[in-house]
Amino acid sequence: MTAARSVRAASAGAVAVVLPRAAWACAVCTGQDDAAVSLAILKGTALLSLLPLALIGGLVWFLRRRAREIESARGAFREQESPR
Amino acid sequence: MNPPAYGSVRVVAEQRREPLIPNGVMGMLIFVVTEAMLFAGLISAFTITRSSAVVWPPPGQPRLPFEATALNTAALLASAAALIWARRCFDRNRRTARLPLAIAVLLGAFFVVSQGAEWLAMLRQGLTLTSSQLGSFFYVIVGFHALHAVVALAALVYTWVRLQRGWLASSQLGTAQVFWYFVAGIWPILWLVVYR
Repeated sequence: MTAARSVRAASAGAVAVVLPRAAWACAVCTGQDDAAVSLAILKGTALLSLLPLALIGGLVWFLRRRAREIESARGAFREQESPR
Repeated sequence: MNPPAYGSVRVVAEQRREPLIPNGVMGMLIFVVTEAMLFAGLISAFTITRSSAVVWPPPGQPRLPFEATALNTAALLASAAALIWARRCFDRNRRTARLPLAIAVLLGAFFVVSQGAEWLAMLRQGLTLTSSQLGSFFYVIVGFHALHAVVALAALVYTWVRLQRGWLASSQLGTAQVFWYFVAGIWPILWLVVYR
């Protein structure tokens, strides 16, 4: 192997070693305090994961409660109207 | 099942189910859920950016007027309370809902105008959409909320006009209510997260 080839191979190896490190970098981790950023990311993840479940769950709960209210009102009306 | 007889008409009684809640209210609820996710994404991005900054607010940028905006926040919450009052009046006697609905509209208008004045003050102090991350987030998050507040206020004014003319349906008031409660309900969260 010539000297030039050796240099090229070593350069390519160095790039191959460095590249994965760049891939690990997070686009939002630019600050000094990693703990604060980690906590913020964790909070954000929790918010964005749980909020849709809470909103859809709340809507379903509200609709079920409303359905029960209407059904009980209908039942009371039928009892009132039915001849004894 | 008997075959249909020629020369006679078969009357089929369809049992139609009433919707649990008016369609307008349901549509608005779905819209509000999607908008809540939009604001949750913006709040999440803002929190991460803020926590990664060494100095906050960024150098050369003004501090957001947390204390001064407390009055606007109180006005918006009072407006939502007035709308609850309007609903109760509407269910008893429609005419009596005029005053609380007008109060809700005026308090909402106060909030929108005060926010506009605050924006002008912040622009004069050098906080613009491109001046810093704070400026970008401030105008996007608070701007989106302001857009919602203006549209919801227009809906409230429309509701009030229909009430004045005696054309307001219960479902229409309900739809405007859901939107306004969303605008009023999400604001204290934005205020505490962005301004503090």
